[in-house]
Amino acid sequence: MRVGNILFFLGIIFLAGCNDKNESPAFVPTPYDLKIPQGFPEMTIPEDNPMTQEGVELGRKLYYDKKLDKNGARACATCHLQSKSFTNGPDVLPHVNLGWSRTYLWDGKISGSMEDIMRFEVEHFFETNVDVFNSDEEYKNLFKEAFGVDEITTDEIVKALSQFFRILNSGDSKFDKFVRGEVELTNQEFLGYELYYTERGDCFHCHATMFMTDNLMHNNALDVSPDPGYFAITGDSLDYGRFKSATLRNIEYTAPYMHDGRYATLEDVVEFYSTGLEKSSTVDPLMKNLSRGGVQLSTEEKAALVAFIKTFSDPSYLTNPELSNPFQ
Amino acid sequence: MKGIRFFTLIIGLAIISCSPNDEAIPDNVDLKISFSQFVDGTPVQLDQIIYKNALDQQFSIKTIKYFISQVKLYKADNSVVEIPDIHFVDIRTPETLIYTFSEKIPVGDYTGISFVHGLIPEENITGSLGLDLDRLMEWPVPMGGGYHYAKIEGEYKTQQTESFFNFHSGAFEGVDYAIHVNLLNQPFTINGSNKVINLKMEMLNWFTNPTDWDFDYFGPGIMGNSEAQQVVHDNGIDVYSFEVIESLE
Repeated sequence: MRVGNILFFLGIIFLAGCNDKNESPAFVPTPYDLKIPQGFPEMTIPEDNPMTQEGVELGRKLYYDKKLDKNGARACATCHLQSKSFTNGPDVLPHVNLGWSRTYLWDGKISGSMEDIMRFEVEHFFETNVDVFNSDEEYKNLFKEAFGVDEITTDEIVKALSQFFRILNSGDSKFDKFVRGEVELTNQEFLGYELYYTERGDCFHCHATMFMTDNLMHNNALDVSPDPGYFAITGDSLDYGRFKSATLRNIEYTAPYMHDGRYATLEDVVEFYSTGLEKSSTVDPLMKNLSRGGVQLSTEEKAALVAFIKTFSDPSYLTNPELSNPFQ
Repeated sequence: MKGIRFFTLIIGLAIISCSPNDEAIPDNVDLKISFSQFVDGTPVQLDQIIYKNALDQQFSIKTIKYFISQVKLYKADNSVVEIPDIHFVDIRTPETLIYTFSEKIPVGDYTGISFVHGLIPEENITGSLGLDLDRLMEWPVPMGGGYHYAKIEGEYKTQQTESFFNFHSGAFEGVDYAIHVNLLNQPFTINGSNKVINLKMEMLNWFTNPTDWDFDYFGPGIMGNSEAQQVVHDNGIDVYSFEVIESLE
């Protein structure tokens, strides 16, 4: 019996030493203090990917490193420039406040968690070669510090990128300061505010909440024969011409506009919603002024709406050193 | 032989004791509420301009979203079962069409139910229902804040025009237009484990009694229109009915 007991306890000790992966027992990352902008809801952080300083910093490095790409040709930051609120052209939605998002990309190709969209980016967009990182001593050390692993897998790359994306948050615009009672809007901006948040301008249904997007797919009456949009993902004819509502956060910096970049200025966009709506079979009923071409704003109202929308601009986001290129 | 007789006796007793007639009815059972929407008694067909209101104006329905809250079930012994949850219904999202109360309710005779279509002021607070519902139902702070009580959307055709309509209701300018629905003196019995209260919405009733809804008069949007909100409130009193059914199957 004694021999049996000894063997039993040896077995327990052996099993206890077998982690799920190859984690070091001394692995103790530093918790990251995620600061949520005032007025924003809490962000859901998955239990298996807590925010750590090492993870966030590693994610930042990966975001700016072309090694993420199978061909070494591009990094996230190649198309997502901080100076433009992390976008650079019509094909790429800005990376801002995505930690609260549930749908991603213009056509809604991916829905779910941040880890879900990052896995898509790593495995399908960049087709990342994990061996590149496993043969890089610096990265091996960084991944070990962040996740306690000796061998890097796609999982850790996804987790690190997700952590960095969760700090890509903008919540210090003039509008935020107005909501916090720190500043006043000009008379023109306030007229725009009233237009935005009433059915006169009717922006708020799709550009909703503090994130200025409802995160849903809509056909906003751009074309008589719209691009497929969400239909290409679902195959449902009702989804034809539907695209994700873009956030209006920092929209001043993210021209051109719409999924195909057809509008160069915010004035163009407001003119479209005022007079340029086109009928097709799947136009969203929220576009309730379709029959008269749009909401028919006056010149003064259009200017006011643009002025108000520019209060969503957060210049500190464009220069925040915690988000900047670590290689420079 | 004795062994065989004894075995037969045991089997016989086991069979008798398994009779379904002897199953005890529990004191408390699960409650489900299902939500269904009709036009003139027939389930709503979305996206087709096949309906007419009392003024003979054609319309279709594309969207039906609404909140049900403050549900109360009145027992014959004068006690009340209160359901504190707020439930969101979206005709295009099947999982929202069935609500399961987290607690069991007492079996017995009931005399009716009441509930609020929308939200009471204490619960109509922007941000209080979570981000997903904020995105779908937020009522702008400059218009009073909180949530839309309901969104009914579609297209209408009249002699004058053809347009979308957004029949959006909510509290406006400090007036609470939530509809307190009382379906009392309609006795029913909860006596099994699969009882379901099917809460039915008759869409045509939104557009008549006491006021015939004129799409041309009210136009495509009504959120900032106090007169329209009052009409929606008043017409909505008789929109609901219910039936108690055995199961959802």
